[in-house]
Amino acid sequence: MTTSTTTSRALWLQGAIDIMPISIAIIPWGLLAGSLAIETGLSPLQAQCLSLLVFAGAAQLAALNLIQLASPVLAILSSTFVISSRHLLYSALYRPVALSLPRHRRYLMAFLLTDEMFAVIENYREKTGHFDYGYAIGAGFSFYLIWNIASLAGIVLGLIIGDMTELGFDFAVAALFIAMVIPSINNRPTLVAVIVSGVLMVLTQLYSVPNGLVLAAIGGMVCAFLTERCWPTAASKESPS
Amino acid sequence: MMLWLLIGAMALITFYNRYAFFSPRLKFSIRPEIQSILQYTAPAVLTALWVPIVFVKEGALNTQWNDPYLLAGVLTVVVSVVLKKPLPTVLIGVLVFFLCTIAA
Repeated sequence: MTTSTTTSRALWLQGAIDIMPISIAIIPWGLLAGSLAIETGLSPLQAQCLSLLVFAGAAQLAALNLIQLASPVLAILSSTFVISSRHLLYSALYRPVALSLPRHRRYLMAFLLTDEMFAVIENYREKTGHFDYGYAIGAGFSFYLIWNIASLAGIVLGLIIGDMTELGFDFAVAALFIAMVIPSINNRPTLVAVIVSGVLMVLTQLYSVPNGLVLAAIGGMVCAFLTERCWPTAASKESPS
Repeated sequence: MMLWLLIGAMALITFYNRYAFFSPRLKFSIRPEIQSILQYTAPAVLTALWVPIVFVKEGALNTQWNDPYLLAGVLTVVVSVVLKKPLPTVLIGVLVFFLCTIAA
């Protein structure tokens, strides 16, 4: 019989292993974030702090583009808020779990809560039926380390080579999210969530609707919920009680 | 100095968005309907993140079939449906993307 310490240590490692494919796929994006920061005129230390403290790929890249366009600070900060506001949804979903944790653990988990960590811990929760703090931090922290090492490599490459924006690194991220979403479609509401949020997202982009990402996501989620209620199938997920 | 303040403010904003609902000071409990809606967060948000990379180009619908993003993106979806395993799917998708980029 294992003690609780070794069990939680094993789960820490398991989380780190489970997020590894995603961490590897995100390396090009980290390289891009680092090199773009240098190209934008940040010092190497500032460039690294962006990845260390802000730790949000899409928000970092958008901010760097806006700085290059000499945008006002308020525009940069509101773009940061809008792009990272999807994390409010993760935060809401994990609220019951977080409230059972002591304060320092809540802070650490919130700090590490990225799309990638969320995807992995949500998958774990679906498989095992429960949340594990050690597993979540193992996944989140190893991802944080790799993101920052990739950013550092990008900073060095940016100082040596220069512009790396045209290499198509954003596709690696798209491929990654496709590979995580498609296998998770195992019932009708989830299929509806994917189709509706995808279509809405394209429409908001074509018509330059502000906050498109959050609107598209919420639209997809509400339609999935309505499907679950109005058109249930045997395979549909039961809502957690 | 300005850049340091900007980085600090951005860090506070991203942390706030992640922590907001973790705060016990926020006095409310999530109703079952909301909890049901929230369980579709992952497929909805992740889809909204990848779809524009594949299907939107310079503010318009991407309809050029020889475009690496569209071609490799659609192929990655097909591969994912068949294989259902994330890592090989990503590897095949990225490989096809770079082959298309070189060919284009």
